Amino acid sequence: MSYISDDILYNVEKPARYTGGEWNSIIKNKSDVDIRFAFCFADIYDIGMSHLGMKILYHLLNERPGTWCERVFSPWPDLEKEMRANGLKLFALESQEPIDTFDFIGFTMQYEMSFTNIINMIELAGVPIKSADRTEGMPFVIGGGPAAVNPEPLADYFDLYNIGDGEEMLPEIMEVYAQWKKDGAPRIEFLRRVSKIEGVYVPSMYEPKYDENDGFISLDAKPEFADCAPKTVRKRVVQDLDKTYFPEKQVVPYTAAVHDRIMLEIFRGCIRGCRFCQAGFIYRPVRERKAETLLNIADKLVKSTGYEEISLLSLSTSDFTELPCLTEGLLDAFQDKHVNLALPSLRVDSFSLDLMEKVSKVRKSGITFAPEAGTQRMRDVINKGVNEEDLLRSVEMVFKGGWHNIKLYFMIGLPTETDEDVLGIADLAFKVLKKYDEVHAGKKARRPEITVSVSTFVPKPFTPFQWCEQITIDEIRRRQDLLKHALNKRISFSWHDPKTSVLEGVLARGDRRCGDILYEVWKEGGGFDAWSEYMDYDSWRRIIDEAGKCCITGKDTTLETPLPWQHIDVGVSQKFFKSEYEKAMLGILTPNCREKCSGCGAACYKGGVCVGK
Amino acid sequence: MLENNFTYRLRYSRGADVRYVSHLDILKLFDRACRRAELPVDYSEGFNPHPEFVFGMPLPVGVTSEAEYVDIKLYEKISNTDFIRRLNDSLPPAVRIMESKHLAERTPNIMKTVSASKYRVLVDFKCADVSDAFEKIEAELDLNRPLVVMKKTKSATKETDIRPMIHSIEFTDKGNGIGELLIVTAAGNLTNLRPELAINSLCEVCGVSCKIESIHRLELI
Repeated sequence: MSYISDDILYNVEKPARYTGGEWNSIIKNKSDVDIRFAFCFADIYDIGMSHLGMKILYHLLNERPGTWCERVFSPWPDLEKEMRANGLKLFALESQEPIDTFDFIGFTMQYEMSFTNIINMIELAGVPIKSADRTEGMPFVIGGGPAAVNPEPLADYFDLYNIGDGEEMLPEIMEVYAQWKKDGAPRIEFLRRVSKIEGVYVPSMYEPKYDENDGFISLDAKPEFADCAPKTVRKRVVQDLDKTYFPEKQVVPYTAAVHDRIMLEIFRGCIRGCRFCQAGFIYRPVRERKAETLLNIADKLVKSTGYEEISLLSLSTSDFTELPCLTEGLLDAFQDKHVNLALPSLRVDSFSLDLMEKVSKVRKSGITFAPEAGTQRMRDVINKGVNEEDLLRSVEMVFKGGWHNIKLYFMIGLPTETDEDVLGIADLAFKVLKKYDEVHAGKKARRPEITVSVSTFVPKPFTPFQWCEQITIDEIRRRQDLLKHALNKRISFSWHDPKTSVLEGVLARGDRRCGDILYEVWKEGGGFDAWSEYMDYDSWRRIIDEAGKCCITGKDTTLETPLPWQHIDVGVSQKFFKSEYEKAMLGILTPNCREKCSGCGAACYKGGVCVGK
Repeated sequence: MLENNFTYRLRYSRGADVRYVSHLDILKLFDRACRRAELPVDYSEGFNPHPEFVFGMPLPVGVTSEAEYVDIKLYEKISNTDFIRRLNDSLPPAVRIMESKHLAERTPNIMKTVSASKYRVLVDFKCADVSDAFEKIEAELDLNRPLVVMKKTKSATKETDIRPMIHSIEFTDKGNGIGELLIVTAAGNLTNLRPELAINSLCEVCGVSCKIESIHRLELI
């Protein structure tokens, strides 16, 4: 029986998003469980069901017989309107029951622009949105995921955060919770107990201090919590990824998921150290699964899901040490079963081209390159270890291999960027085009499809550029126009909405005062701000400007400026980020983790690439 | 491959849990269920091989059914009971295989043999006495005169006389203003009439208020 009536479902878009019952979804008997966990993704089903982290933790939590973890997604505005009009609450897919009586409401925090949706979902659930207003018997709101590394913008809304990998931390929290529930102890006692688990951050136990100019000074544990709240919260890491839980079943949606396939996480972290990339630092150390383990998991997943495609998931597929062995094994095992292999983020070389040839049964789809910047100077600043010669050699191989469709990814607004660097993007695109003409000289060739896709750099915490200033909306537009005019119609050009990039910049480096901004924006109808058609920039701008100081902007920021996220320790030291920042300004490269350890600090976890073989 | 092709015609039901799953997604569901069941499904040749499935009448969204059909081609022969058991073990509970039969070669596709479809429709007539509503609708049917409505076709919405597409209706009073209608309407490749359009249009000309509660397909005829 669905929680939403047919009269309503019949009139909303894609009602199958809301009715549950998918293959491998988990139904338990309510009376057999002592913990009910609502795992929320602050976007619609289509996006949330494409996310591997949620699949892992969903099945992991359900491994404990006494825990029933269910999935919850944002209703699309058409359904939300009906729910509010009819007094209906946010509900879980499996039981089709409202979640306000659950023990936990968990959010995986994937991107800053979903923060207003998080507030909206807590409110739609009928639970007080601020942790301070929640009383005995109400659910605990718990957050995790990459956007939780700076937990401050939503600190008023969450009871606790998980910083880092959840695979060990979450089950530990469930055990502590079950015992606390049995003890019948007060709410604060649970928070005291879990705050001692490595990786757990209880924001209400800390208090921020600001100086007379409203600048952020520090965030310290309140005296009454000095016995349990750590001074710095250290990111949790699963040391041996190969032995870490990976679900052998995954929920198979009936419909709508954007990425609807088996996702095989081959490794976590990245050896590269591109200085703009937050994921490259916060997931350190690089930890791999063994090819043999992965083949075994893939076999079980094909049998349990029936999926027709397997995709390898990591930050950089080509850096996987056993890639030839793994891909060969997968092709051998599954080609006859009509299961395809998808290979995202491959670096082009003879091996990968040969591989793409083998796996692409259909017509040759496009190949993507990410030089990230147009000039060598700029690429050295960001530590993108690619030079033009290598890139053009790869492009030549691709064109000779019969591809005609190439996508080039760049960023504008990087620290120290000049107009020359922006125009360098156009130069590079023209060199790629010229390569195509050279390869096909004297022959009749089809029109090449070359796309230049430009996003705007957003400075993020826990990167060497966390102290840098972000360029303004007008400046983003000016640089986009500069580039647009330098290109011609043989090259397609696509760019990101400058408004979203600027707001993302505020929230990414925000302090606790962003909480009020998010509240005001939400109250004025904010939600689905990651969807440009729903984002009301004028409202955001006015509220941010009225709020005054609320984030690190890069203006008047020095390497000594206190950072609102300095109480979180992701393993990579602030000392390393400073030295990387200084090297960036001088255009000095840092080798990748396998070439030479640069002493970033992540070796403290004694795992993965840091300990070698 | 020709000499060892085995085509099976399966009849299956679709319950309430999958009432919003589209026809296209049902194809995906069967492909994945067959792979889970490790059935020897035959695939087409060519660059983009696809499983050899032929589905019958698409079921409108929101409707449940016990008369759905699919023809599946295997490259190895298995018994009908085996086929039903293995596939049911791999299908969500809302989809159940009811029958399987091995088809002789060149059996025409299910769509070519269908001319009508029978539905059970629960209607709330918003009145104390539904027999009055029944009588009015029956009287209108007996007149056998054109019932012209705007009807969507593949290309456009145009005025169509749907009366010839309504083959029969049987009425049962279920109490509390609810009537159960067993309605047979034209179905197939040439003409197709959705039961809700038939019932809503009839009630409108008869001046009877109605709200459709649920639709369930019983049979293809």
